[in-house]
Amino acid sequence: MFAQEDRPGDALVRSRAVAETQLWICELCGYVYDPAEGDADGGIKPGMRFEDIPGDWTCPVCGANKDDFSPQDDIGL
Amino acid sequence: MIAGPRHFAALAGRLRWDPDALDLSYDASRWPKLPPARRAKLSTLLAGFWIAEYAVAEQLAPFAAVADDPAVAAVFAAQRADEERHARLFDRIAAGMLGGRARGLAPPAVIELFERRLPATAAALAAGRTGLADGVALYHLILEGIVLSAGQRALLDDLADGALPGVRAGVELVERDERWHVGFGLRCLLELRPERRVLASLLDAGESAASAWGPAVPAQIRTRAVVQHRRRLAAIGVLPGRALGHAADDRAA
Repeated sequence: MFAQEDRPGDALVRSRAVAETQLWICELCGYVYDPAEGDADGGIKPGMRFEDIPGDWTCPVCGANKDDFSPQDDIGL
Repeated sequence: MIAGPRHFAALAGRLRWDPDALDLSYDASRWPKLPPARRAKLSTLLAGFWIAEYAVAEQLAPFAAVADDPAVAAVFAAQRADEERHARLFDRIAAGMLGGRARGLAPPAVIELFERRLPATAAALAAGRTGLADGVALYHLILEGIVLSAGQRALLDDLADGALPGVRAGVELVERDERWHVGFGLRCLLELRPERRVLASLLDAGESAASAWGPAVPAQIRTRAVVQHRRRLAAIGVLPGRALGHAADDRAA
């Protein structure tokens, strides 16, 4: 039998849960995309994972491209 | 959400550059060969930056002095070092290309904003007659976020053909620094819970600030700067659609 944490699909569920709450920071200006908040003015509804944001979306603070963001757990608060 | 002061301090440390290391010799040799109309437009922008960067470097000291949080004060100090680098760069550019005539070439509205309005606000801040939120709103959001941003975009677009590669490389570095300065300013505003009149003045400031350069900045760049300004305010909860959205009140609700 599988140990509870090793059951098929668990890793996928875990990675999806992480993606749904993962903060992403704009490396240029410090804006933090929080999936819980989305970006209403940029047409991004709350709950949208960063990976699912359209490629032409830009940073609401500095206009940087999506490529200029990186996942970040410590945002220097 | 905007990153905290530790993030900005680390970022400032990573982005340091040397304004004396940029080679402007080719630019200086190319400058007299540019068409007069193009030279006139570039002169307006470069002279404006020469004035502006000196002013922002000089006027930032009171901001660090009145910051309650030592981590925030340290970021203001790091920013001031950036501004001194920028001033040094534009000093070199002015010496090489504008021949000591920079003051007479700068747009009057830029001079007014950077040599009168900013020093008056910084003096009021130092004297305790105004708060840090007023200073940050003017310095980071209006002057850096709109005026300088629009001017940098105009320079970068104009010089995209490689006419003055040293100048363009320098402006790229300046623009990179200014992005985090604006982000840091937004972070400060969030923490400071500014009065509604400060937010209202920010909402109203876009068009006139973007026009400070006159025709040296094309209309589409001015429009883009205003749109970005409004998006920026929306990102911290000051939404243009809600005449006076108050970020701090909204968060507390």
